[in-house]
Amino acid sequence: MAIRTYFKIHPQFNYSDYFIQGVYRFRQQVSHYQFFLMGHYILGVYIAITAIGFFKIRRSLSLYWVIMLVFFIFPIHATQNQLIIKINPQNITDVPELAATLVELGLSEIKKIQHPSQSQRRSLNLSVSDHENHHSEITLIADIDNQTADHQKMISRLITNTAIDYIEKVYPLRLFSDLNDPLYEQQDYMMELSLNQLVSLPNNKTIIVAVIDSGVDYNHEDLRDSIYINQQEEPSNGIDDDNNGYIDDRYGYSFSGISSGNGSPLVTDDLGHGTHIASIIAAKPNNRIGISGVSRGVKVLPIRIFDDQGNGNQVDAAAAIRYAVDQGADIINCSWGFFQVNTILKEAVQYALNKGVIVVAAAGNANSYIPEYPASLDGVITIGSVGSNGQKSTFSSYGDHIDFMIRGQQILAAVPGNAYDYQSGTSQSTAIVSGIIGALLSARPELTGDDIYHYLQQSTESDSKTNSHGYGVININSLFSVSQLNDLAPVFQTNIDFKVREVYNYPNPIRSNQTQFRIDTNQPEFNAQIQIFTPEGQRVTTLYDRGYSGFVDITWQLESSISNGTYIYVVTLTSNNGTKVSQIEKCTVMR
Amino acid sequence: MIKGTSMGLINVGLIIAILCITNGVVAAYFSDSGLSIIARGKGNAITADHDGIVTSSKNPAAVTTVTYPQFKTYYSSHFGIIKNTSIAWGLPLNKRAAIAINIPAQLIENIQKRDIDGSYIGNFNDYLVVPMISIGYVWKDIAFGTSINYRYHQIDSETGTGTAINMGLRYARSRISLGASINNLGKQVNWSTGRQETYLPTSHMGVMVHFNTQSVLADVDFDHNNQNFIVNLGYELILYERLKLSVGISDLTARFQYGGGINLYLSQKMIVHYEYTQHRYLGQQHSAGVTIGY
Repeated sequence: MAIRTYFKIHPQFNYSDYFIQGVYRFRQQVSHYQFFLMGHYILGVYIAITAIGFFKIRRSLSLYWVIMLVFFIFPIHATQNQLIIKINPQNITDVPELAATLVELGLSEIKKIQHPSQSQRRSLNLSVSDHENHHSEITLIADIDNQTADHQKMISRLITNTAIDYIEKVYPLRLFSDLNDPLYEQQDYMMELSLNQLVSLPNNKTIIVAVIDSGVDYNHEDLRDSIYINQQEEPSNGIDDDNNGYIDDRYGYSFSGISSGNGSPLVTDDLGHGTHIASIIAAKPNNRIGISGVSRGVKVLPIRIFDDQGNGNQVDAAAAIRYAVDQGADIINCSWGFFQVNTILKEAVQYALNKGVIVVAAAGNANSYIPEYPASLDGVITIGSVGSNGQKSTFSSYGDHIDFMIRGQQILAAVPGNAYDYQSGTSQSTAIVSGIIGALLSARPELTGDDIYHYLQQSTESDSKTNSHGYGVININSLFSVSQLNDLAPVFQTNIDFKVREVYNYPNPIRSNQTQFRIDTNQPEFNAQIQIFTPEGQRVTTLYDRGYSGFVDITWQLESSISNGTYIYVVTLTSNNGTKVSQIEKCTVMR
Repeated sequence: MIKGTSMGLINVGLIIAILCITNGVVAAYFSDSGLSIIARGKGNAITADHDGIVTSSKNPAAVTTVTYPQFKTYYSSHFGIIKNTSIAWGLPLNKRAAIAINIPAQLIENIQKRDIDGSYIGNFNDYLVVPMISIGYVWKDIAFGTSINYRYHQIDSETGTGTAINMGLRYARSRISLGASINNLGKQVNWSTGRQETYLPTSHMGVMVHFNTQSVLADVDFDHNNQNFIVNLGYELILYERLKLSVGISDLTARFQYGGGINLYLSQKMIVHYEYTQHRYLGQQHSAGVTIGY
């Protein structure tokens, strides 16, 4: 009755959403196993009641199918019974008390996550040296002894301890392909355009790409590590610490309305466009989160020029460009434009070009030959969109001012709120090119804008411009056949057969709670995945890491519940050019 | 009403048994119930099946479907790494009861021994033998069965031994058979290293529907060690009363196996078996065997 009343009072409330969210929440709390077992127990009880004569068997089976339908519609992975706890050493006042609290709450097998190595963990030792080393991070991962414990209460109690920065339940991750970003497999443009090769280019200099757009969600899970931070500026103190004329511009600046005196340090993205663009360029690769950006050697400088309705003007844009240049941007990405141009915008672009900043701009989505600005300004690299078939996208503008084309349709990238979505447009094409240029500059900082333009031109199939495609579609593989970039090509080892020299684990038999898997190959860099199976083929666990200089050691921390016996493990290695090799080996647990 | 009563009893029995058993038991990681001869060629969906000795390895009640004295032997190779073999003998005691003895063994050879620095020291082997005796009795449409198995596991110079009990029910009427079992009850393995491993049981529920020459099988395995479950599906077709073909999938979401099998009846009591299964990551498994009745 209460629920019905609620819906009468709140007609906007979507009943089905309420139901679905409720089921989702429920599914988040139980594992597949628990849910399936629960379903069968209910079925068993119902059939038993049926046998006594209360219900028809058909009803019992109907209930069963409803339960199973819900199960398959909401296939949410169960959370693991582990907590991750980040401790701020500066705030630890009483080490034994903290340790006692953790144990008292039923946490066991507490291990310290080592940095920077991703996979190595060792037993917890909150020693005095850790305590004294105020600059080191201590991140712990702990098993929860009591599987029925109220995790939220446990977290609430622990978080009151000032020494704990954060505490969260550990959620699972899956590796989909050669880059370990879980959505990488859906970024088909990365493989199609061979952009995945750029991710492994050496990072000799951090390149700043100013994304002048609708703002950027700089707290996005897949972007926050790729955001340029103005270290000279303290956040939110109301003071222009670096005396650049802009107060609190630690994470960029909003020029939206600055011509009317309304500038602000708030660069949040209400439209989602700028976040999408920024993540195409610089979403952190190989972090097991979201997607992979085109370049790992860039930082995004978020600059907002559009309000939450998508309105902006060229005076604000001009100020934004000058700001980007003065903040040290190497590349300015302009995924916007207009059919007419103010002189102030022209001058700002010229200011950037004079300072050696590369300006990349979108041709526009009007399917028009009428030039838009800043794309049509001299010195600006103008990008149009093609589909995966290489044909001009129907929306893409065209004309003599187009320099290059690259795919701009169905591009998966980040949007605000730790979300991801597909968007299409010359904006996305422009972001991809900005990412390419950023990767090249990061690997070869001495290159100039003219050099890069020349190399991009050489990577296309055409020596002369056409009205529809400019010089044509940028081809990454051809780009590295350009003689001046040959030194980067060996990084990919595209011409070398991927060979595994040796795979083994040590010590073997495993008599303690850990073993190392040693993988030795002829590839400088590769992604490694190890799947461990029982002799019957049931998967026990999957481990991931990235190999450098030809080899990698991956640690397997064995839970106490792993029984003695021989296990089979499959090592799958993926080179930077996508070549995969696998090898099956065996390891033995004997404790 | 009888169908409902039987299946209800099976389920309620399972619930009570599991609740009783799981209290206070320390779990090891996985069970090796599949070591014994199993029907991978029909997705291992055999909890409700009526294939005598083969089925009794998963549901002891199915031993009652052994209708004539017989020997059965198998050899199988898994992923080019594991060798399994099994010798079994089945005997109907009367119209209502039957007994079977099954001795499956597993061998994994040439495992590299390495020290803590990674230096190669030599090779060792992993042997596992799990002899099992099953007995079953039929009352009306319901068969009851139980089996006890002894486990001997030798890895390098260390050994582990233990025993376990399996229990099962099978209800068969008209075209439908239902089966349920709990395996590895009380399974505990004591190692010469001093480690003691206590396994939680696995439980299985299955159904088989048959139409003249065709059968469809489905079952669910609950692995209480891993808190996991596995859904298996199988299909069987009899051709010309001499050839039995089967296909099956075994938990594509976790165990990733699918395959098929051929059973050629050279005579009514002499059958040649071959099964092939493919694991998505580990590769091929081949299994060949023969059943000789007397």
